[in-house]
Amino acid sequence: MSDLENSQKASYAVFFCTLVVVLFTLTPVIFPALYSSSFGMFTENLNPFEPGYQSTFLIVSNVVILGFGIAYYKKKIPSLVHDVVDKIRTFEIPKRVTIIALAVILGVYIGLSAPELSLDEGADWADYDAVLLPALEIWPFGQADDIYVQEQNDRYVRMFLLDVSLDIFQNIKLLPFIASILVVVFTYLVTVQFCQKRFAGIIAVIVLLQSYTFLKFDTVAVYENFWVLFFLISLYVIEKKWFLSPVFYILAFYTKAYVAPFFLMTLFTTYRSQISRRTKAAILISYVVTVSAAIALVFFGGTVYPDVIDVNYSKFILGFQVIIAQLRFDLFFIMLLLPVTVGLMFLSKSKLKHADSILILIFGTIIASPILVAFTYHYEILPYRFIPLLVFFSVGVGMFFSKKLVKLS
Amino acid sequence: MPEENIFYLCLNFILYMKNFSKVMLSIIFTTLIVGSVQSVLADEHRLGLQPVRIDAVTDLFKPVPIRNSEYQFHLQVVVRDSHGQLVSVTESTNGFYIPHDVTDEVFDHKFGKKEIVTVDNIKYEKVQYIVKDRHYKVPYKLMFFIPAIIEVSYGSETIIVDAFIFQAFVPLVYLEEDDVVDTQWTIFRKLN
Repeated sequence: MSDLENSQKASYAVFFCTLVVVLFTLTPVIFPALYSSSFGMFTENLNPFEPGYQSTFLIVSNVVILGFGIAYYKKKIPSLVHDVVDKIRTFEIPKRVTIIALAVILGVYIGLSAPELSLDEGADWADYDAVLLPALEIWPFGQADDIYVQEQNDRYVRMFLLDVSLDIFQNIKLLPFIASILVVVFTYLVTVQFCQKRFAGIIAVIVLLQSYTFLKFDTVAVYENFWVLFFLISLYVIEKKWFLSPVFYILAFYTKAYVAPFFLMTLFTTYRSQISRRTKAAILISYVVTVSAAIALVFFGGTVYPDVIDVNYSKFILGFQVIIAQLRFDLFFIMLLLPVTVGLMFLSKSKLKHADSILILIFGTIIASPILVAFTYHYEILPYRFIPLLVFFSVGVGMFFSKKLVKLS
Repeated sequence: MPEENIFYLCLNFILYMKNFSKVMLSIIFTTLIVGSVQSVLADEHRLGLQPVRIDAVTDLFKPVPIRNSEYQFHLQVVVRDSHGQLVSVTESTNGFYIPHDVTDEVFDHKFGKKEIVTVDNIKYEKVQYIVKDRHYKVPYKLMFFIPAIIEVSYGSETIIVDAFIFQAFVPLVYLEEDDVVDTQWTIFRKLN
């Protein structure tokens, strides 16, 4: 079988898996009580097919967008409209203009968010006084009876950075905010690297910065974005300095253990990257070594993680129901998740290799939460865990603007 | 120095620096302008969710994890918008309770009719506690409580405090101003 056939089969497999989890995620928008009625407890008061308040919005918007997309792909729309869409998709901006545009966007974002640095973290988020501060007081060598406090101190990189932010800068929100700004910058860089177009990067940044969830948690110290940043960098450096990728992955892991299974997505992204086979093999080996060491440390290093394992399969399906409730104010995301997923498959067919990478990253960042709650009793699904999903969704939207002009000579 | 000895290492350096200054100036001004406007708004978005904690007064009512205890609970939270349309359904079995006579007393006398059920060959008493059409004046909830009002001797005084005898962690539940919340607690206690 040729490499091309293998590659296409992988693309279809990735698309199918992503489509399934996306449909699982969006179903509760239409029927919010469906999963609870089937897999929950004490459901006599629920109607499984009662429509949700956003059901009409989701159905109408998806019919319109998918209908337009299919008509565009099949060239069934008026040529004038087709040409306009093509012009937008092939539009590119010079490097200098890009820098200015990016600087202005970041300036507006920083200006709008910076006042949040003066908010009282403890007044906004009860976990700050209940969990994070007690953990910081005994960090790095103290022990706590409370498993929630102890779990904080197993996240060495995060605690170090928060400690620095509090002790040196006298504001625990400062470094988390800087991390969020860098998440925006790396969203741009990853998009440009995947699409080879600066305009796509600008679009991705704008999509990310309109996200309610991202803006809600960008300055929150209790639910910081350090782990998102480290994971993004670990992806970005694959094609630049590959040996740094596992280093940033391990930094992400010791910031938030939730990122542990994400290395599978990194390996797929590596497989789709334009680097030599030897480098791909080296990355694979480096990750096997890194992940093995991390697992050994988790299970033999006295961390709390082995103690929180508790399997409950029905929570897996209920987890999907929670996801969309957490993202209820991210209307752009709800509206475009399915069309973007389908569209990325077509982009993948058009030889945009990293369209598959984004599909697998969307798949992984969705399914990680239901898996987490199905296998542990300790954690609940919280919206900030979907910031990587929103980042990769933004990159995915940017990819639709990655079309290049073909010059006929 | 004779002119022929000057080496121009980067001919467009001055032009480059001019552009750099423009970019930096635009960033600084945009940040300053937008930042000044928003600093007034930020304070209005404070959320203020910190509950009053009885453990500040006494350790007698310190909550402990419900997992592997004599009590178990299941909480179902149904959120509807101002038009009565269904927004979300959330469930939780994770949280805390106060291991004290007060909890037993509330379980025995305040939750209505008790049923005996058997789960995994263990007999439990089961009660339900339902609160309907509740408006919360907060933008989100991470915990739901069943409160009890308790009289506590504190030094020479007797004070009245709120104690959350059952506390359920939930995935974050976003709430809009007019959203209506129904909570249904199903609580089990192991039968001796």
